[in-house]
Amino acid sequence: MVSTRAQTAADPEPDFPWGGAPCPVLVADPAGRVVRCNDAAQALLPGARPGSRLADAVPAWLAAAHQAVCLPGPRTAGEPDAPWSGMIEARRLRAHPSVRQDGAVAWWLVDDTDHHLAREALRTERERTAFLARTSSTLLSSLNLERCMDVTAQLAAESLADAALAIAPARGRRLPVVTCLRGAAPTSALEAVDADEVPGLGEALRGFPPVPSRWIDPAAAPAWLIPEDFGPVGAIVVTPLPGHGVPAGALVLLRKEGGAAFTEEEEVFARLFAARAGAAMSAARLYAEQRAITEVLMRELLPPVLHQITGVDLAGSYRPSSDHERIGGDFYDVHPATAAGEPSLVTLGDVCGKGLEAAVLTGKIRNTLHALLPLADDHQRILTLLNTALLNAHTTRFATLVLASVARHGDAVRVRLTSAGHPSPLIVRADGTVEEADTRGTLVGALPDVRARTTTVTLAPGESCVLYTDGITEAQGGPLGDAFYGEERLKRALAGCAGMPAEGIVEHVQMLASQWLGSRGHDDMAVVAISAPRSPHRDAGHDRTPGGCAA
Amino acid sequence: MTTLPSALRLTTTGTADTVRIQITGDLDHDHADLLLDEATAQLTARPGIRELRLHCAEIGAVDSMGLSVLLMIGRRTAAAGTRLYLDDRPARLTRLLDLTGTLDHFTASGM
Repeated sequence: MVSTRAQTAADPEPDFPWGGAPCPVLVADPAGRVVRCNDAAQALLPGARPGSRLADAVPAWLAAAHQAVCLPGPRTAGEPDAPWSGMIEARRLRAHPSVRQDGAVAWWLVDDTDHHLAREALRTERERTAFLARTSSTLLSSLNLERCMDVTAQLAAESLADAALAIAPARGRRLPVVTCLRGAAPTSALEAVDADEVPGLGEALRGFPPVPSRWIDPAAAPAWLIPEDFGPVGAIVVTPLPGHGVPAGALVLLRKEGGAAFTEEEEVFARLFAARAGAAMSAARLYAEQRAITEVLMRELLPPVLHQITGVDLAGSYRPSSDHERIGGDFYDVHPATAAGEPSLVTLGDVCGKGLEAAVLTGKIRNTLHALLPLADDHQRILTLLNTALLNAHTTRFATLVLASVARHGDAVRVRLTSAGHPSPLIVRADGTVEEADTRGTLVGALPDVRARTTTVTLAPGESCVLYTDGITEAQGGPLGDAFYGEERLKRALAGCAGMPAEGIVEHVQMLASQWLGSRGHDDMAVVAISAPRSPHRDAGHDRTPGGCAA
Repeated sequence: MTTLPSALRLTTTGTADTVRIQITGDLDHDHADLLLDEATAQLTARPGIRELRLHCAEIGAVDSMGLSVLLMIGRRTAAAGTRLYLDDRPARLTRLLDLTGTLDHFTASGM
């Protein structure tokens, strides 16, 4: 083709018509000497003069290509789009040979720089995309903040810099910092330092956009920022780790002196990485906070361990809902008498609704009842004050509860019971009779007025009073799986509990309800038993003042 | 007439001065809010109605959230000068109202 064009071109030099062609053309003979060059080739390869040795005039890769083309041997005529290419100066060139009739080879040097750059860019882009995908999948599989910071520092040190620091917002006056050197394991520390010592770090931790690295003087970096044995720092990038609404922290990238500085492109990429890392760290932190809140609330909600108080047997059991979002409805408390001979107050209740709101309301009720203890004898008054404390214009969330004032009188135990909209306590007599306590009242927290009727029952030794929440009677199960456990079954079960100690009754009721449920889900279930002990009463106060009760 | 796609189905009909909501299904923790929204919407859309009648014959389980919603509707009807009726109550609902000491409240303001 080349020779055809050469022949047809109207050129003063029919043998070498490409003198002014923009593409560099170089002709060399089989002995490896330069025959001709056009102007473009001359400019590209100043050493290439007619007669000079090819090996001296052109880069080694082109000389080798020439040798390969000139080697005697079978070769397809018209040859090749042979993939000879290499660098000349800063340009990448592809060399296309065409062998002439006299055995000389004309080398056409085609600039391939842009194509090559595009390919390189594509490869880099693919690597980065794969890296970002790996970042997301590695980070999002963890809801542990420390682990997220470790992984962030490690990934960044592997792919973005010689060393990386993941820094979380200050905890008190200390900065949680995870440092990772390339190829090493991340180390974490709490640094008692000022973030503003590092240009751009304070801003990044407050969520401001990143400061370009060229503005950060590596020499100004404080010692804590630079890992041990790192040597002089060449370049620093500080990038915020954006979180969900609030900054999750900052990422600091360090490169050694003498290495490449951060290009603008690399800084943009660091930000893309930081966006993913920040989202993961933020999710992990929100999760940790939520868990901490739930734990604190649940700890508050846990009922007390009951035991004997002033000669009365007490036992309680609380089985939280099987559905964790629904915990928080039931509660019970015991407030022991402050003076001998005075009644202790036992409360058991059920708050409307589930979850956090119910938990908060439960806490409010327990605290209010505690504050009202000096009025413990006057149940109506307690309920009225509690109702007023709970009433608010926005909700009709209410609670039902039972108040029980319990005092020992001789061998018997006297219990004053008031139900505020709650299932009536059940009295288990010594002969197996089960009675419903005759008390009724209004639930608290929703209506402007509450009324309640109090009843007093006397428990002989071995007799018990059982307080329960509707989680027991409304346990759904049984042979067909759709029946409520119900009050009647509960009464029959309690009839078999005559003479049992308080703890035995509570265990028995919970066990029966569990059996009834089988593997089905359930609401909170709470049971409290108040029993008059069978053993002779040994209360010191009672012994000391035998006539005290009558006085 | 409104029909909501859930375990709780509400059918609202009305005359000049009465709104009647027929409740079919469970009035419980997951669904009770739908009834509150519907009743509130009716009270807002038609100020001055004389009666809000909740027809309860087809009502299923009513838990504490269900009762809380009934109490809230009671509060809102009272504020709007509308009388609230719980019609055709099944025995179970009456027992719940009785146990919680709210039966008088609902019947004194209505039936």
